[in-house]
Amino acid sequence: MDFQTLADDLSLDYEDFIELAELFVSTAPSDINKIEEACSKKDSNGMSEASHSLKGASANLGFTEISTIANYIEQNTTNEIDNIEKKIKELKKLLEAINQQVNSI
Amino acid sequence: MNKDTFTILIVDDNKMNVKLLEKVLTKEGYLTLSAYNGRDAQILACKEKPDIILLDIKMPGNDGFTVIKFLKRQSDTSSIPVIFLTGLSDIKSKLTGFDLGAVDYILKPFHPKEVIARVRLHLKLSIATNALIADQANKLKQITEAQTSLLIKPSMYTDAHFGIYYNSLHEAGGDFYDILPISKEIYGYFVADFSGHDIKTSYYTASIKALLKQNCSPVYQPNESIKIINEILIEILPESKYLTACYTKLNRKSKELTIINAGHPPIVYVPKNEKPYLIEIGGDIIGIFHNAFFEQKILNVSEGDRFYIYSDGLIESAKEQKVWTAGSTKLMETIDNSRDTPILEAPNAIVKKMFEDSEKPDDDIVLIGVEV
Repeated sequence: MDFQTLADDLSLDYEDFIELAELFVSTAPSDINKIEEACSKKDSNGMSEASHSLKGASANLGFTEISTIANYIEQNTTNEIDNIEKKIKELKKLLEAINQQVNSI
Repeated sequence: MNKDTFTILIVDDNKMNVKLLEKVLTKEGYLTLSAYNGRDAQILACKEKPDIILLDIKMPGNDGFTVIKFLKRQSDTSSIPVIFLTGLSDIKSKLTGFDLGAVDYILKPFHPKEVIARVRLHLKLSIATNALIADQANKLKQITEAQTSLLIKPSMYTDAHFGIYYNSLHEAGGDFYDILPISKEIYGYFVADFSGHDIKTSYYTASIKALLKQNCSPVYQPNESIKIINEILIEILPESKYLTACYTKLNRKSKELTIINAGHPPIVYVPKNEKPYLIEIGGDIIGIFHNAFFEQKILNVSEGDRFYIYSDGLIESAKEQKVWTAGSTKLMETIDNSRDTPILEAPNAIVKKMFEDSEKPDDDIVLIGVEV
């Protein structure tokens, strides 16, 4: 992922973008955990709220893959649990990739 | 507030969104305040009175709709522009937001430049609106000052032996009074109440003052003076604008009081050693009918007698649904009990007594007390 391009898209300085990306990787796990917990309790509202929050934040930074999956979960909270769990795994993987890239800077 | 710096309150439960907006807006030279929930947003808005609020709708606890409802109810935050910042794209949320008083909507994900452009636009609109309001308030203030300067104070004509209570609740008041020195020992006392309290009224009070000066002279009887004034006012007042008035001419030499009443509450007359009574005489309102009828009553008076002319705000209250009969009974009692108060202070004391058990008056009030 090219952080410089994402920063340019937002008309942000590179350093500012990195700072926001760091904040994102530190706050996003809380949303993902909430989705996971809500999913295990079949709490449709809880899943919808947490995925909504994750969707907005990731979309604002240009992390479109994460926001696409978050949007999918928000719209399909009554889906098969297996399917949602698969999506949550994808989210974690994507977030970890960003985390590693941020830490390597 | 320093007019060169503008403060923006950012409200969102997502820390990343708040941080992004802080960075973007700070870079543009704005000061930012941040709240992560509705309750803190309400407290911060009341305390800091930001110039604009960016408000997320979906938040745990008090959501954005609750916050804006709260802010619009408080007088010191109600005019702060609120822009909703939200991922909810359905039309219903948008309409609810506008209904509750939001000025705009920004959908997430937002581009920082869009946020800046909208913030700038709404700050400009807000500045322009505030300037207009300040300008109008200033004009109204000038009118109030001009109107007040037209009013005669007891110290200007000590021979007229009168006391006055005058309170205009509106910037452009509907009540007006004047004291006219007609000749030595003859004074005219005039009280009028215009329909409506709009700004135009204050210009008409200046015209009335000029008309009274021209027409209340020893040459004319009071009913003649009022008839002339009525005919002129029909020409200059807009349709449906009229006034009720009471005009009295007191000749202290001949001990005669001449009274004209044009649809106005009746005078309270207080003989020195007898019970007060109302002087009810007929007369049309002023400014509507050509050849209007104004009954004229001449009363023989004695030194030490008093009479009171007033506007209906003293005895009627829309708020308390107090009607004329109840109000006038209380007025007669209050006036009777204030015989020993010097005439200069009596009107103030009477108004104070009339409103001691109730809320503040909800209309303009004028009360003139005259001692023969």
